[in-house]
Amino acid sequence: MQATPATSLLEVRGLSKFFRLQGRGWGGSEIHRAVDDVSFDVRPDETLGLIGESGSGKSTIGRLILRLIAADAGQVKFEGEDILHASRDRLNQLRRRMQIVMQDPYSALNPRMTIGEFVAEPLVVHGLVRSRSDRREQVAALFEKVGLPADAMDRYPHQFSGGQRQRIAIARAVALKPKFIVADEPTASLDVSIQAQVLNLLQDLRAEFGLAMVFISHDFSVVRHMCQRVAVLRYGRIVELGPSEVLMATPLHPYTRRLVAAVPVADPRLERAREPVPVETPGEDATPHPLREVSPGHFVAMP
Amino acid sequence: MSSKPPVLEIDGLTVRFDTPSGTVQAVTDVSYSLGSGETLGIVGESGSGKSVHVLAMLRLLPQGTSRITGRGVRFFGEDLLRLDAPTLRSIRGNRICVVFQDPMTSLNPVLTIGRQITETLEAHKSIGHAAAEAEAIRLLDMVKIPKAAQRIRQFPHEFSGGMRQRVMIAIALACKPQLLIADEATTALDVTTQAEIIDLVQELKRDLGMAVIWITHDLGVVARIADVIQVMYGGRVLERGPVDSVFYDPRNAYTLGLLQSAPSHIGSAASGRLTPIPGTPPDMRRPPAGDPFAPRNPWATPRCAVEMPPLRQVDNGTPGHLVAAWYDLPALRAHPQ
Repeated sequence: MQATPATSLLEVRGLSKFFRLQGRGWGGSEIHRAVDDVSFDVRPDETLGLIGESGSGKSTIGRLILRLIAADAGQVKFEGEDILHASRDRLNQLRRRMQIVMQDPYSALNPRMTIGEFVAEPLVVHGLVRSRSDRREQVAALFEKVGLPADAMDRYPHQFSGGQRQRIAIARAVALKPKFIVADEPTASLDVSIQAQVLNLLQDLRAEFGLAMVFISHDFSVVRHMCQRVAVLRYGRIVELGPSEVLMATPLHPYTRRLVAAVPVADPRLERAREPVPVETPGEDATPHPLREVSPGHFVAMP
Repeated sequence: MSSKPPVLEIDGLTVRFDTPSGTVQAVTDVSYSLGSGETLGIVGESGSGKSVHVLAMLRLLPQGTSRITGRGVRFFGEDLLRLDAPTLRSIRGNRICVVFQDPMTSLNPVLTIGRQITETLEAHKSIGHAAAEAEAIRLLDMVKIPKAAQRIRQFPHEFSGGMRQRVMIAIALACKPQLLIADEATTALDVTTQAEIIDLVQELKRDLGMAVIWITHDLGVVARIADVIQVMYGGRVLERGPVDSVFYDPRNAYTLGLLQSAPSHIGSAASGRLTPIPGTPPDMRRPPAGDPFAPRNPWATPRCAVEMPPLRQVDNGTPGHLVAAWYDLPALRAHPQ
């Protein structure tokens, strides 16, 4: 689909995940194509957005590329190395360089571990701490990076607010100095004023570590702020992929157009001037079409 | 604020919760009024009191742990806080309807969708079952649920989230309420579904002339639907006014912070940093003594820390644009120290 840039950090080709729906129809079963033949690249220090509504497959893709769940078809290469067929040992080594930040920071934290232990856990597992005092020093350094007070180390998750918990989860994710992070709706459960703090933190870490990211979200303005390029997902397939600004200023696929028009903008004059949201033609989104390049780097699914 | 007769007049509504770790000052001295055909958008973050004040005025809070006081919540002149229970029940779900965020917990899982709509109609409109069922089908058609005549026989779990929320709206509109309150009613829905539901409510508002209170944390939704916006923080109203006036000429530092912290939909993408509001919201068991936003406000004056400013008409601004602030935000922004 895309000419592979020699500099890709992550290459995803034909990635697919099917779920069997039991008991539909006469004694048979139906196949639900949660992710269907998805291909994209992520360059080093690039943030690629995956945007879509519920059931679009965006979160499933995030889990597939880290092999947190098994793919049914396709290929995922990280720095040229096959993730989907790597041995267990090799995968554990690779995971030092690939991390995930999830939506709900509370359920991601272990309520019975102090947040210091929680952040240090990956360092301990990978044998990167020499002593107790070394562990505390490393955790203190991570806390400073994410804007948590060092003296909070011995406290438990319930003593923190949603924004602080997300900082804790991010501190753990960057503990092993990864090259790549999947951020799955990292600010969806946060209030807007706190969301801005967390998005700024992710931007800072990206600059500091030269991080590449796959940023999964349903929020167009957040994706636009965070991502150089964005892929729009519908029914498990990419319907449009391109530079964020181009895609949001001149969406070409009917679904992207509908999505862009539906997003309310915090500007009453723009809202009054907006076009009505286009109506979906039945079946319009369900028919799979191949992606075609309409301008450099801008791909649209069309017949 | 409006020349139309008020549908709702809230005067000094205050809510306290008694908890083992202290009294939560959830809502303090909230007053506003709303005319027919008017849409009030209420914004605020978690803990701002925006949802609790609605539950309080409809007396939907548990009685043992909550204390509600106020000079009155008048709905067409009748004080909801002092009505007897049967009269209140005849208003709730009939002349005032509320749609909450989560449609699954609001619907009864063991009753068909049709039954849940006809129940409301039979309770409030004294019409027969056949007529109620015909009306239920018409309502589901109106909220654009396909094959309504068949779907009224189905149960809530057979509907998707967006469909269930449409059902909730159909139930809310079944009795043609004079006041519709939507509390984060579209927050959990996909944006395309949200857009459809907002358009539908706008259409019905025009046709039925109902007043709407739309509670949300999304300033975009307010810009789309509201005539008047009210900003709440720490259980208090910090600013209120016509949407254009508040969006383009905010007078309270918290309103400005909210407007600036959201990533912009226009301008250059993937660039620069956002302007977050520093700090975290107050613990409402021990709220700040004066202006609740003062500890996070870079422009706070010494007076802000000790005394809550009254909500007053802004200087040199649109009539009906009110702010609670001891500082002059436009002047401070024009001449930063």
